[in-house]
Amino acid sequence: MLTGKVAVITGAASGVGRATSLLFSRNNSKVVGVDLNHRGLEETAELIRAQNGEILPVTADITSKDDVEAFTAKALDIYGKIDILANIAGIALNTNFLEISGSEWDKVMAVNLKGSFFCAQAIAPHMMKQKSGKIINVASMAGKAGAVVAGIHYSVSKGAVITLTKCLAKKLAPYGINVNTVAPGPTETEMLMSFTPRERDAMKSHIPLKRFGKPDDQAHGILFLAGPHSDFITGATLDINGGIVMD
Amino acid sequence: MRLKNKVAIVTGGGSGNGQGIAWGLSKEGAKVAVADLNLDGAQYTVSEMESEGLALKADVAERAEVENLLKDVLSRFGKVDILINNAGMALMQPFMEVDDELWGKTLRVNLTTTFVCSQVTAKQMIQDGGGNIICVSSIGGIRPLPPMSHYCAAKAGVILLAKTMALELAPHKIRVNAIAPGIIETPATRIRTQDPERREKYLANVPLKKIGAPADLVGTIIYLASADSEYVTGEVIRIDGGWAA
Repeated sequence: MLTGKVAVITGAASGVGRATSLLFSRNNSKVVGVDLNHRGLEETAELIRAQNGEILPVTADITSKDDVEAFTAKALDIYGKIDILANIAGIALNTNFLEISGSEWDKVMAVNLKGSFFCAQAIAPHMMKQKSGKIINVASMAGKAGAVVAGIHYSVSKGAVITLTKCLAKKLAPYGINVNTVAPGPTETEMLMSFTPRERDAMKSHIPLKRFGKPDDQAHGILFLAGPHSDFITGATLDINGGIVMD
Repeated sequence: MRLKNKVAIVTGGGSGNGQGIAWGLSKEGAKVAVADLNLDGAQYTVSEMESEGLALKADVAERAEVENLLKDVLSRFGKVDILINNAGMALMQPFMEVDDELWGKTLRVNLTTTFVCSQVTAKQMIQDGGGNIICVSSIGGIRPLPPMSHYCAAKAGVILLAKTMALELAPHKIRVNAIAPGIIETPATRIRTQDPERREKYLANVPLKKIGAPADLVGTIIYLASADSEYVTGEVIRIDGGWAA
């Protein structure tokens, strides 16, 4: 589905980012895998090479505009183009509302929102020049329903990602660039493991499809939005959440 | 071939979006039963299919006709995995001039068809241990579109019907989702989309500056009908070039 495409995938070291990198690679995309977690990134790279895929692993901090511009330039230098940006990197902190510090608020906003913004800002000019591109941002059911999982800062950052998508979609549509959001429900990743077993069971009982999402569920949604089957879709949010939040 | 050996029913498959969807499903290996009031249209759709098809004449708002339709599908194909509630109609009429007949007909062809077909088919799907229902709503089910208040009401109804079905049928392993197309050019809408003044007005609202075609809906239908979306239910996917963003 993605033969000949070059995809920048942030958060590639684990969870949904890793699953997406592997799935994209199986669909013949070249992957630029970005993460702060160097070791996880190397593991992802090994997995991709083991299935004969091609990956350029980049250890970088997406909250740093300099880092983002540097890896964008590197990717363009090596591959000559970028067709897809999947902003998957994110953090979920569970801090109680009354205890969230200013610096923790800033950190969550920086990784979840500003990082996606910086990546879009750096890569969009190239997509605009080539008059094509696909950007997929990752929000969360928390960004719609608020406070269903993790802290308020997490929900707010993810809600803002949905708005970011709409703005980018409208700005970049004249250049043939599609921008959409995937909003995961509770997904089996390290993030979910940070909750207690009781919290996890409580969550599962509320899910109509009675299971947690797998990283692959999200990866398939991201693939759908990255490929040619969704060319007429932009500014939309795709909820992949087992039916737990319907709005 | 993501739908190999699956059996799908497409209502209103004799033309336009339904036809495009039927062809798209068949390209992915599904056997497709095409139901339409217009048998000629259904037969034409089937004749152009890449896989096995079955053309059936039916008024899919009529329970007895839908039950017969399902009987024919089961007799021919043995099962039903996917139902595409595509039958619909869209006539423009300023709100103050909508008469009882147009109101009733619009609800009947868009919403009642979805209800009857879903209920009849779900009964079989429950027996068989699961299934997949996709309802065709519209951007008009999400945003007001004068002068189509009757249509918007019906299409909005389709969305909440789909979501409620999703919750009630989840225990039976049936996923229910909806698509909300924007302006799509079909034989039914061509008179509007080809009118230069109207066309310009439509395009002004669409960020991607394009009028859609039935083929633009296929990719999303395949995603929702296949195992790729197995964690998606109660969802409405807008296919509108960014109009309702």
